[in-house]
Amino acid sequence: MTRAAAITLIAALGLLLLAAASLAAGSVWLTPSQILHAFAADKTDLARLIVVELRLPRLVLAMLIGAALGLCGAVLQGLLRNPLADPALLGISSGAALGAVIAIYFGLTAQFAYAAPVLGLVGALGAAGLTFLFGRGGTLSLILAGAAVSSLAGAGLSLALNLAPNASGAYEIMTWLMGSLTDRSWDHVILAAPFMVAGAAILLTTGRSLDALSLGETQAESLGIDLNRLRLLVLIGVSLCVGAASAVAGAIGFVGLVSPHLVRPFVGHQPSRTLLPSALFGAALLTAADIGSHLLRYNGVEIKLGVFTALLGAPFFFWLVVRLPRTAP
Amino acid sequence: MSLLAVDGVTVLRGGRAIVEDASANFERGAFVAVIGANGAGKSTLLSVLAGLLRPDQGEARLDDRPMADFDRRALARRRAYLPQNPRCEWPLPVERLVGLGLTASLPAFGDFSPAMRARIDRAIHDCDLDSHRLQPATTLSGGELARAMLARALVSDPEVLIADEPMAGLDPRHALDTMQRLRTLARSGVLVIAAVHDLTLAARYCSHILALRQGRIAAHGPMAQTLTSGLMRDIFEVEAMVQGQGDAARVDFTASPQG
Amino acid sequence: MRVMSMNACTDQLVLLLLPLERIASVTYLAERSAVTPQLAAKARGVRVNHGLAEEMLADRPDLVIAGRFTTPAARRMAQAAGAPLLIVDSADTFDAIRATTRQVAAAAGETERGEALLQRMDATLAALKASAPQRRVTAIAWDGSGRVPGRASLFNEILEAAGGVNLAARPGQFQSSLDLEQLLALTPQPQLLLYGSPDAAQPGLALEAVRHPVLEHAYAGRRLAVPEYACGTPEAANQALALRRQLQSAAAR
Repeated sequence: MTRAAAITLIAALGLLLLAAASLAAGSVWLTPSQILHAFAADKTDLARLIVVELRLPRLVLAMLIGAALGLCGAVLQGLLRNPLADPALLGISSGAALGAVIAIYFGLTAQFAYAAPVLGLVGALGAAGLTFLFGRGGTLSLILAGAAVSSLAGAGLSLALNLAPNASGAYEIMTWLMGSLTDRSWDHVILAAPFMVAGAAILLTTGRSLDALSLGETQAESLGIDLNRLRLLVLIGVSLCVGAASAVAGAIGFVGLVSPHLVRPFVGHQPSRTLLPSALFGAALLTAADIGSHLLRYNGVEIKLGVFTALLGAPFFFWLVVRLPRTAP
Repeated sequence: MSLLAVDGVTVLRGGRAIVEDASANFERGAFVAVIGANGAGKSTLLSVLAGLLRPDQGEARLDDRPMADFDRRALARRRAYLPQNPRCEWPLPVERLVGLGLTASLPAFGDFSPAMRARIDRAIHDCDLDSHRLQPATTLSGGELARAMLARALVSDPEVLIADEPMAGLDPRHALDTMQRLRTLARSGVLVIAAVHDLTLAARYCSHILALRQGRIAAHGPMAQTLTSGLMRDIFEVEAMVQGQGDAARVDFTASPQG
Repeated sequence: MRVMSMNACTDQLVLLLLPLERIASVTYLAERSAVTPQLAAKARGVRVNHGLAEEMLADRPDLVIAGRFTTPAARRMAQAAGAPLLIVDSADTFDAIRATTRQVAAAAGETERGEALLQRMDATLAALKASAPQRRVTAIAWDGSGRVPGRASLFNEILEAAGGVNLAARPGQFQSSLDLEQLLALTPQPQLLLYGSPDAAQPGLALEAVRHPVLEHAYAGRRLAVPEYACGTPEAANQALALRRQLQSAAAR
């Protein structure tokens, strides 16, 4: 068995274990047998309500969003040949969150349920377009453009919540900027999944082109890669994934940054081979962070998911920053 | 019928002609050195020849068919292109890097076929990279990386190889080695067109020469007849001495005519 | 003497105690947080401020009433403008309501009107107590934000006066927040689930949580929307009376 296959298998197994743990983790303690029986229980049974209606959609969302972000990170890093590329760092998540917040806080979702993911998609497209447009001069300019787009979207987010009729907007902006999976339902899964699946399908077709891009843009073009088409595909795929993810869970950071780095050494650094394992790792990371947010409580108050992804991601980011001058051109 | 041709090619950038009214034919088995001063339009002409750049006027043709009519992948299967100082951005193992040369022949998913693996093995062997197969490309020395890139270009068995200064940054031994390989390739029937700075090396190894002066083709023909002191003076605006032929050829610059 | 209020809750006291011509201004939140429709109508006829120090110079009040969290700049400006500044704490209990009402009434020179309001409040409270139901309905307030009003809250005070029991205020049961899982697993289950926050009716995360399908299953027919009790005023007794009627008709269903 190759190392690539081994790491994929390990990630898949780990994800299964985490999924089982996630069903068991919650603010209400349920025994394993209660959890198992919940699936067959009566519709009004408490364990069933908790496991099937609360924990399962939350788990499914964590895995879907984690996988989508892990995949987006791997594709963006491959496309930009930049180890710091990530939907959150490039401002795409904030743009998507802005779109989703407008849809939710101005009541558009009441008229059209898909308003949140659709506006999330529009926000993501806008933000990604801006970052790509202004960040063409290498790693530094890309990160700066991402930071600028992030703060622009953050300002738009504050403005939207400011103008929204809802008075708790200021408090809830935190949720959107940090990301949260609390109290999600199957409705959210149904809302977001089609977008993320479509986006992931698009992104998975880019593997060959990303490989060729390892040789730089001119060589990739000489190998028959249509760079403009590739950029468009990535833009659409990432926006579909991140737009839908942010519409139901806010801007979740670092998963897309960390996952590709974790798998890259095991797959010989070949971009196409990082895609699937990175998605699996992203799913595992977000599921683990979600379990953490369930288990660790401070004074009975749940610690937000975003805190965990940040605790996980920020030190890693620092490590990358320190290491980058030595690896980057 | 020529394998590759440019016909009245003009490339404009910012209103200025980088390449102007260039017409030339290239045959199988030729090893053409493209020479010229800095900014004479060598890289631009090579990009047009490779079908990577569409000229503002005129056209490039492969097998008498306009380059623009070719599907990107179909073109990629027939010609290989090496830019100046090619780099590998990820620490890919050498065999994976070489395999990238087959991108245009691969399906969207799935791995190399046994026949492709055999071609990769041969390209690695031909470029003396057997002991570096699994080494990350980013840890290769300059000469090794140049060989790996050459193997990447050769693995697809191209009919045309276009290389922009393949010896840039190489020490004399590796520069000689690269020229040797390109000549062998040309002798096996491939059309090799390379921008070359070292005129002595060009004189010794190349079969043809194409000289550019301010975007125009100043001369194009077999090495022995075309490479003259007069041409050198015309192109580089310095006094030059062209001596000998074949492996004994030498080009020396003495001083600029103005003193 | 003209009075300027710089806090949404002191707005209510000022509007209750003073005639229109003696109110220099109330905050822009006064109408939205009005405890009765009459007060909302009255607030529309008054100048509006945004809690800014500059407005103090424009409104030229003789007395500035502010909450505990009014900005230090506004306090300094009140001093500079020469208007006395009265700091009024928020009132979470009927005792606190009596204290703050008397405090504001005394400072504004409306002691009699203040006492009259409090007498009416106490009469209503006494009537509520006399007609208290035998079996008190258990309830919990949950507005989707996860924050649940417990023992030290105006909600708790009004619910008790209305004849209900706040499950989040029972000894050992106190919790400042509940997520959906805990809400489903509460033992004993509350008879009613109250939505008290106006935010729960506005589009937003809270509304999404309130509309969670699992609540439709678990609390079908046991949900009740109530006004938000943000400010403790003498009107709290009437609010308790209204809640009593709501609870009774909900229990009768």
